[in-house]
Amino acid sequence: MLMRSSRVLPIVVLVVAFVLGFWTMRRPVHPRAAPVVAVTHPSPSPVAQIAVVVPSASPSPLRRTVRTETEIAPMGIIPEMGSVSTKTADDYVKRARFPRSSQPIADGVDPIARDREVTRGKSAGPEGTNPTLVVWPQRTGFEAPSPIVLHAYLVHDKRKVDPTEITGEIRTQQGGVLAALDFHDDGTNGDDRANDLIFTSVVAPGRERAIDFKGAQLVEVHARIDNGAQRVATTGFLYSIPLGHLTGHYRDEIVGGNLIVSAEVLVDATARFHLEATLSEMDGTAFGWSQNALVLEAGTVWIPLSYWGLMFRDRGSDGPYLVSSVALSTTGEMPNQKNDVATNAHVTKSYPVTAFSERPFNDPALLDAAARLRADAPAGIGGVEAGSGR
Amino acid sequence: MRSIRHPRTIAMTVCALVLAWSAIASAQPCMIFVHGKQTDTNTYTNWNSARNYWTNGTNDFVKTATKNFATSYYVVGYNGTRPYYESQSAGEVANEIVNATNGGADGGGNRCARTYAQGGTFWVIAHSMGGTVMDFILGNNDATDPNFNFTGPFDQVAQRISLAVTAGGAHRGSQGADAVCGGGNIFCNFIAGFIQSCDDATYWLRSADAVQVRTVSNAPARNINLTGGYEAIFGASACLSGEDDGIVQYASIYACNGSATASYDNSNACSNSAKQESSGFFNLDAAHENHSDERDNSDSDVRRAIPTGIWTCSGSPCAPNTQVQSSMTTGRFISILY
Repeated sequence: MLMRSSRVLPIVVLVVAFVLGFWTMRRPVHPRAAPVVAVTHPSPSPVAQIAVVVPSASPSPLRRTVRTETEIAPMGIIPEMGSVSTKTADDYVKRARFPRSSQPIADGVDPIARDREVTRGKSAGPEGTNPTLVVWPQRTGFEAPSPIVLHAYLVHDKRKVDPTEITGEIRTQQGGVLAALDFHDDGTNGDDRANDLIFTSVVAPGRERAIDFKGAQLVEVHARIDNGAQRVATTGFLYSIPLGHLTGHYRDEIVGGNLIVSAEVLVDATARFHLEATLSEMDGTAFGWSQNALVLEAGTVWIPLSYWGLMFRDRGSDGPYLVSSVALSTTGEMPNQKNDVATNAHVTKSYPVTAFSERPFNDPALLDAAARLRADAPAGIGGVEAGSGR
Repeated sequence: MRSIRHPRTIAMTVCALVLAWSAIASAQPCMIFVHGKQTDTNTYTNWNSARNYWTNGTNDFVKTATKNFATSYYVVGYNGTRPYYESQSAGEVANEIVNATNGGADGGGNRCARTYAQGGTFWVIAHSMGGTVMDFILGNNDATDPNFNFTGPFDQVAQRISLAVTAGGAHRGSQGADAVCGGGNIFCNFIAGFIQSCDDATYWLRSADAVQVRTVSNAPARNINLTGGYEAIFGASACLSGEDDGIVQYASIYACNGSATASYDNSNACSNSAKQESSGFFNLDAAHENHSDERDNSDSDVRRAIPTGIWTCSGSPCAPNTQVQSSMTTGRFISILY
């Protein structure tokens, strides 16, 4: 009897262990189930083994942006977290309705224009003191042989101030100086308005020196201020020599319930080309985007862009539609060589919205990713309570 | 007889528990760690350097994020001195992620519990420049993308990973890199940072649009979830706009659209609908950590809600800047995400 029970014991342990294992495969263990926090009362770590390491709280910051309001979750309110897995899976299912190459635009923001918003380089004095030098290119990139236009100003709080002098230089990634810059505010040579305290410098490489300027170049600007001190700020620009050009010819048709807009391209030499274009209502509200990439040989070719039919059905408005932004680039090298963007390039035929397909794309990769996430997601719905502590 | 049976029982029990434990581990995502900018090639040539990136003394981000190693993991090492798009950076990261999803081991012998073919899920945890590298990989996974599979199997990476989390990600570059590459602004002290010199990687981490990853990528094929720090570093933070972790400004950590040097704080950090791409970027929260703290688990500190972040209070999103935790590292935070 003793022998038998001794044999049964490990078998029972095995069975229990396997059941536990399979159960937890479906429902992972979550140490976060431990009670939380009242924010104002530090609680012990909910995971004992993590307590081996005891990180220290950091000291107060030496400089901080002033916060006008600092809220602490009121006593009795326990901050919780939503499930990242569930949220992500939901998003993937939503996105799976369209192919990656053809996306609806929900917020009306043209992604081609967004990618070309200009960042202004800034540099203040010690510990952020006034004045601050601000410098930026007129556009994020210039297509050869266009001139390069750069702007700069000094600002004290929100008021522009007059510098003693603003100079600079354009440098390559390897540090070589391409051009010296002399900024002026006289309303000539590319400067919009005289004495507005926005200084301008224009460099025209021309066809002769375009190859020297090709690439992502750095601009370093020096401003000398009244007390003799100096501010140094940087920006940059892309100077492109693309191997293809839009001819300005477009055509459109419906194929399989989707809108196909094709753009004619004149190719100078064999390369990989990327084309993207934004579709808008006639009032300019962007609602769709599409891209394509192809290796093309020299000659005149058409690059098709497919706008998935469902985006028109979701939108619910009949054509015509405006091809509001078209961007061509030569890829296969870094940085990519970008053509200037063509705007309001084409108006499509007046398609009734019912001409487009309602079928979703059902991107299999996104749906698979969603299914895997859901299989691993914590059981139950809603937020998962989070603990505090280390 | 009894003395023989007893060890056998213990052995079988241990065996059962090991099997059960591995079943628990395998139901969780495998965590793949991608480090940030480096000033030398050590993390590329020596796996231990890549592993040590995530530690500070006895503090260990990987250990904490994996719940004391209960979750399987893989640590990637790449050449952090090269621009984010190159074969030794993005290419190496992509190849290592594919290796991880195939069940291959990292340089320390760590493997994911389940392969992709076995139904595994994989989360990438990236810090700093690791975020930029992941933007490039996940934004060029399709044959119609501008730089499809430019230096590695980006399509396989995008197919196989479930999501990414970035801490202090340099999605829009760093104003610190601007200062270092701009002839050295003497007021910015980045000597202790990873951007001591304007090497090629730093050059491509500037905030200038011409080098921004968003201009050579599309929206990430898998979601990138954003967290970061707001603890200043004396000197360096004076050169950064708005809140920052001493190296990377909020506009970059939270992948904001518009200017990469715009000022944001916990109250107005760009929401999920105002990102550098039209989809694929999501806010989590913010921590009172500096750039190093974010990845070495050494600073268990306050965490705060940010707009459209992950924390909820009484069923509704917590008001931005609400303190949601009094003492929690980013490593610990990640461990409660799954």
